[in-house]
Amino acid sequence: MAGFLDVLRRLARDRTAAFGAILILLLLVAAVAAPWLATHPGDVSEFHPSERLQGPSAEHFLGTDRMGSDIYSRLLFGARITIAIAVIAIGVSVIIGVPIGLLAGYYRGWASDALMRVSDIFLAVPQIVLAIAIAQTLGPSIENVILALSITYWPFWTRLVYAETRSALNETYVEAAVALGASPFRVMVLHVLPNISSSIIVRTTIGMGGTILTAAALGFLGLGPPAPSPEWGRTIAESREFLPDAWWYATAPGVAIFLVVMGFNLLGDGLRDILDPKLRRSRDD
Amino acid sequence: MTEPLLAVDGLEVGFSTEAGLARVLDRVDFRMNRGEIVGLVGESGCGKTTLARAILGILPPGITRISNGSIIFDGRDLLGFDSDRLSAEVRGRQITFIPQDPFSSFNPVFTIGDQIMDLMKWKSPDAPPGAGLRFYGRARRRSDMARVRDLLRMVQLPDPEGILRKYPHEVSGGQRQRLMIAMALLPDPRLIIADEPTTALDVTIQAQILRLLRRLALERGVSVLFTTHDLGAAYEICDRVTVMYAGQDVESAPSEAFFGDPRHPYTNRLLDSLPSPESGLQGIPGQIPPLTSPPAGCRFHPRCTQASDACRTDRPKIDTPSPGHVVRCFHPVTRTTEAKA
Amino acid sequence: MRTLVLIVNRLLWFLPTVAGLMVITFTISHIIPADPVAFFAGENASAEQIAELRARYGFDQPMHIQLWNYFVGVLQGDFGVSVYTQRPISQDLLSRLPATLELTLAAVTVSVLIGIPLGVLSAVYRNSPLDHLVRLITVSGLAIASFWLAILFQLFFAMELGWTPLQGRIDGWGPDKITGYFLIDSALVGDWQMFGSAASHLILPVATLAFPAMATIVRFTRAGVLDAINSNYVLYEQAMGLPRRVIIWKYVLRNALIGTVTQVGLIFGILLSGAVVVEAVFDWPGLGLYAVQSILNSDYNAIMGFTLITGAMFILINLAVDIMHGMIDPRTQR
Repeated sequence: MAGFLDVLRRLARDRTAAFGAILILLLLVAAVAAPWLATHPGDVSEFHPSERLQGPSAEHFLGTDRMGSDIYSRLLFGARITIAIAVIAIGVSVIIGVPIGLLAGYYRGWASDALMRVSDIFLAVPQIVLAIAIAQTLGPSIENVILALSITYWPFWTRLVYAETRSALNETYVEAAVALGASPFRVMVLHVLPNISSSIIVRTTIGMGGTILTAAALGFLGLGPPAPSPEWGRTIAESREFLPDAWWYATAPGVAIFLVVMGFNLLGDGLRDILDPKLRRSRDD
Repeated sequence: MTEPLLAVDGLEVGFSTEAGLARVLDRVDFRMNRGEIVGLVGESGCGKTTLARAILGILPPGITRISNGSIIFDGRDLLGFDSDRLSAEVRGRQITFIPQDPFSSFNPVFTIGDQIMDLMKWKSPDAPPGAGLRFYGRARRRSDMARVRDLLRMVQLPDPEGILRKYPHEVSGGQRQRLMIAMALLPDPRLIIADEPTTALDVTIQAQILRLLRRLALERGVSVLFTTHDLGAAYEICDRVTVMYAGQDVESAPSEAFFGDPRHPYTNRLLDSLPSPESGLQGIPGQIPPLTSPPAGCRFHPRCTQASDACRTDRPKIDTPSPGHVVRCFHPVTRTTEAKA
Repeated sequence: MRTLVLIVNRLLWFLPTVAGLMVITFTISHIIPADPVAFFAGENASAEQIAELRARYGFDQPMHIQLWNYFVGVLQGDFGVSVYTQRPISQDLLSRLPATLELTLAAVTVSVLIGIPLGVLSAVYRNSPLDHLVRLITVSGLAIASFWLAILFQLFFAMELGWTPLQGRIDGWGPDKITGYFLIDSALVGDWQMFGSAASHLILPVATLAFPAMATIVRFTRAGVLDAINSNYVLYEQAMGLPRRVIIWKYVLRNALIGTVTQVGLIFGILLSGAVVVEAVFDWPGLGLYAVQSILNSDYNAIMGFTLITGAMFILINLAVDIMHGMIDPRTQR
């Protein structure tokens, strides 16, 4: 894909997108460097009941929770969970959904129609509703959250890629490739895929935000990784009974979710402005 | 009548872009007389559309910088009007517009009849001036409707009633442009500005539309400013032709003199570049300069075989080889002396 | 006539889709590794008691028979019995539907009434301070977790300031059921105190729910208006001197709104998704809270019922939007 550096350069000039990228970078740093950045790395699993529900202080930047654990440290480790869930869920759904969409778009026939029908059914329902059903059935754990999210997300990519493949097939460059005797595999992978990749990239980035929110909601409802997991949604749920006194307990993870999702949204918007030519305004001559 | 209908003097227009200020019009002079059909020709980016839109006052507001010049129409300087006044008194009344793409220039979710009658509500010759709340009385509506039907017939549209009920996407390209011509004539204007009106049409229809426009304009004594990059179209219907290059006006002459005896080196190259059996395909070596850092003096000088020091620094003086024929060049050529490179 | 064809066409699509949804929910509920009957029966139940329960709830039949029974049942309005409440699930769902609808409709109204004008103004005064403020709010609205926003609102307005009630739908018992909508029912009998109580309880949940919906509406309206403003037809209308306010409020708005209407389905999806957690936080006795309680009670049938009902509602809304779009956009009638 030509112009990767060009994209980076234009991204840097878009201030809101760059800000979003910085937020995401902070998330990555927090997740990767959690053991070193945390002031109380052991608090992911250790309890100190004597220190419970203390406000923010020099020792505990963001206060302590109901078990006396350091919220700041648990937040950092929670970042790992957030990234893991989001990246794997989207990754899996893309890896499943895109090839199916390509195949369905390339080949016509009842199988394609059937696949699209199935996708439509999944897409006919809000993601969280189905995800709740699945996660509830399988039991609360991080793997099941990922599974629930993947199962409810792959049809989105299939539909998207199907539509874009169908319209790409009408383009002359594809007709040329086919006329030159290219195998279906070559056509799909070497010709169609690169041209729809920018659309996929933009939506993946924007989709990260939504996925993180849904995952947090599942965690909040108790369907995510069980205690003592530092997952952000679960932490917010735990904090409820201690409000309004322990206001820091609910605030910290909520702000974290907010910043992370906003980061992905801003970056995704910036990418869309750059990569999607249809949305660019042309000036008068 | 020696007083020109439209006189543009020394107009300087710039657009502020990411790469700096693009000087799209450089001290442009331009004249039109009553009842004349003038072609404004040049390559893409030469400024013809910008000039047309400057006259109408519809250049993009955020980035346009008009630093100098005047546009005198009917004795008044349009640049001195504020936008609302221009909109209420001049646009759609004395000066009307035919756009390049008739498809996207119609609003897709209203019927053609809706849009035409809305135009009549505000701009028919019987409409009171100003832009205040408007009550559209039945009597006036009926007379306007009759006028609309008449004009639709005159632009040779079959079934005027039926067309008014249709949506823009349900009509053909040629029909849409005829509608545009009708709409441009309905307010009884003095001047029609047609911005590349046939570029979006099939070749077979272009000539028809052009001739229709010319005939109707001449019948009603309406002047037409017609921008195009197609010299053949200009030849078809224009009384006079003006050439622009890179934001500068370069030559202006009555049709016969323009095509028969062009004097400016660029005009000559332009006419030579029309494919013909003897000469084959000829281009002009070099490229159009960037308008953010244009050449000084005559902007054509980097590509001109006649260029001298004066050309590189000063704006060329005006030369008048014959009445009505104006050339801006220090070294005008004639067809016999022009050396073919 | 065209509209009729459109409706029939879409209905033919609607039925198989709902059927497919039933298959999916059924499949999900039957890949459980655990045994719900045993779970419910408790640790001390004997094998016979469990077997008897299983037979009573039909869990002893082969899979395809269960699926068939489920189909037939649903078509007759029978979603099975809640293993927890012992009541028919359809009854549970029906009794909670009005609460969710009242909340959702109020949220839609608020977000549309505020969102569309904001979107128009934001586009018309592009890059002004107002535009930047609106875009800031929009971006935030789409990045905030609904359940967290709900808790923040509670914390701030109910706990700290005491301006609104903390949770619930009304103080004391609600009005006698006529429509099931507290606002309407209390107004109909003239009980204004009850009306006020119902209204004040609506404020925070509606605000929470409407926030992301409004953000979406503003975004789409703004984009639609900007698109229209930069279009060739607006250029033509300006060139022909039509008054600015006619251009914006008649021509631009109509085009932009057509685009926004198609997003109603999307907005409804946002509201439904949000309703689950918002009802949980505010103890709002609707479908969402029912779903959450069913999760806690491992009431699988109830969750499937909830999924099916919500899914069907969502499909129906999208159907209606589709039809409406076909009717108001002349370009689709080609």
